[in-house]
Amino acid sequence: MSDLLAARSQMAVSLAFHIVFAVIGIAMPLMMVLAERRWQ
Amino acid sequence: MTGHAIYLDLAKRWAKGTAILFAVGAVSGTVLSFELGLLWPRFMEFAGPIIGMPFSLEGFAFFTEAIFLGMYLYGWDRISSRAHLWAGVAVALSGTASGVFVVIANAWMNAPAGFELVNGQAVHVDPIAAMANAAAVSQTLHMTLAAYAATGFAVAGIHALLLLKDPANAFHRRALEIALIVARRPPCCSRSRGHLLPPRRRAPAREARRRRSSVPHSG
Repeated sequence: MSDLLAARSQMAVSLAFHIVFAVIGIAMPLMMVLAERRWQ
Repeated sequence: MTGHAIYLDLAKRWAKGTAILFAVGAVSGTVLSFELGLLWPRFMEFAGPIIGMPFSLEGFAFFTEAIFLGMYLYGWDRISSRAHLWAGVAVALSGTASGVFVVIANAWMNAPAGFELVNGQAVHVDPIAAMANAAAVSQTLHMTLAAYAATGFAVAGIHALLLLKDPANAFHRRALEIALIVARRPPCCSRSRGHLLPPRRRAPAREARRRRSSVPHSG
């Protein structure tokens, strides 16, 4: 495996893992706030 | 405005999930920020002065999100319900903002702007113009709306499954309602935004490679 392929693979794995949680971190608070708004 | 205790339960349950997933996202995001410098030092040396600003703004947005999430999680009985709700709003807004800033940096890679290339050196660097690149609006809109749709449907799916097992459960019915509101609103717009983005013109490096490989070698 070349250095470039190794670096690309590591970046790909890190991004693929992170984006799931990043996306949840964007939208979950909205749902959380909508629920609290309905309670108040 | 219902005062229904179910919604309070729901907000607390979702807050717990948000806290755990936020922590995983924060740690894996830190790994990425190190990798940008460690795996791509030459690229970051060149691009840093041009596109570093949205990354630092993302840092501010992320810390804002973390601070207000702390207030939200630990402030249930400590601050007024009004202040608590606004802390939640701040979490939602800064979370969205941090996503927008990172996607702006990605958009710049698809549509570089804000500098001139002279003998392989970037000169006349203008970070604001770099952020206002041609792909920024369509990509950030697309990504943000897609995030709401993806998370909304994932959460709706979980509560729908639990509702199937227990059809009379009011908690999961309310949860499903809110999740579907978040999931259903954006996709229509997300799809049309995605179509605004002509991929060939917005990815000059890829396009150049494609063109080069299709030209027969003359010698």
